[in-house]
Amino acid sequence: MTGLLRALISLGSMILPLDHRSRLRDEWNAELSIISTQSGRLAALRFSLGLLLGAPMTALALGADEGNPFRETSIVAQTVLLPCTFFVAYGVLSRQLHFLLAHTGLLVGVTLVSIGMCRDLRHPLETMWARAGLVLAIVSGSMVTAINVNGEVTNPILSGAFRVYLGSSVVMLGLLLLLVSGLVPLYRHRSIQIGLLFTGAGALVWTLLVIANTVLAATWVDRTFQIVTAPTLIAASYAAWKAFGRPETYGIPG
Amino acid sequence: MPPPFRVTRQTRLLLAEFLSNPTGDHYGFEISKATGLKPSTLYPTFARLENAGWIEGTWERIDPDKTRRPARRYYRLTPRGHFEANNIFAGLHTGDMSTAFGG
Repeated sequence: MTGLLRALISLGSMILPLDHRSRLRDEWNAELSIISTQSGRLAALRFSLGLLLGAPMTALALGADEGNPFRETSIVAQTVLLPCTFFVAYGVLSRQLHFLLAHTGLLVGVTLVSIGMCRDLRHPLETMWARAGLVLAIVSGSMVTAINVNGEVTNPILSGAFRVYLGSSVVMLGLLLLLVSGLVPLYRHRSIQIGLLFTGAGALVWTLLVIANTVLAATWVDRTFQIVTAPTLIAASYAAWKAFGRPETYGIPG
Repeated sequence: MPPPFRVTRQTRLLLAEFLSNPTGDHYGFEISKATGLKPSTLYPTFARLENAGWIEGTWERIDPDKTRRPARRYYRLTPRGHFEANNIFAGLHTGDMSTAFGG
């Protein structure tokens, strides 16, 4: 039983920034040993589960401290977690599973990239978390774009909707460039810079088109999803731009 | 000099717990139980206070083979932390702790 609880704690600590990880894991394991001896298995289980479930917030709080180069990115991760919760609730209520999967996958992908950044301050795009996050974001974002291509609603006023997929396609191109720049060291600075510009500008265009369609079009289901996703991506791109501009990381002039 | 971090309600709760026994050693689970703070708030606050030099963390000096458990990490208020914590509470509202905690 204690071995399982230790494994839960180790799992939770994996998400923490590098400079805190091993110390907090040791500290939590010591507390666990004493709790299981003095207060019983149930208290130890509650303690371990609390640490595991709270680990993302612990990681974000540690990352949000002053002086940490990924303060901005951590803040973005927090802004992303809220829409994710919203999507789950919304998807269950509306039963529009394809919207739910595509948008949640995209935002969870961005969150994973943020976590990767928090974990390795010097080589953020080279972490497995960031790579997995980018792949998930690209796959889910492509689903979103496919929905945008096929699901354009006829605008009752303009007799045709604005092409939302133009914005989301540019975002996907930006994310793809970021993935490649994490894998290939050649021209890394330049490709990150262009990738972030594509992501930010694409998300801006996307947001404006969605706003125009939401105001003018009759249906609102997919617009509601997109009005959360697109601005979140603008915030994420801006934060990543600021984070990458720090001398501790890639030092891209902003 | 202002604190190098934002003094939140949670930070005040933690400092009040340290001030209740300013020379004693405290550990995470004990403070979590006493203050009701969740680990996701507690441990980052420990790190913040430790970085600022307000508290000092030390590992328990035991032989893990003999005690059959790993060493616990204790936290103690430093003289500077004692001074700063008193300043915080004195500057907020004398004698009314509910105001100090935002209640």
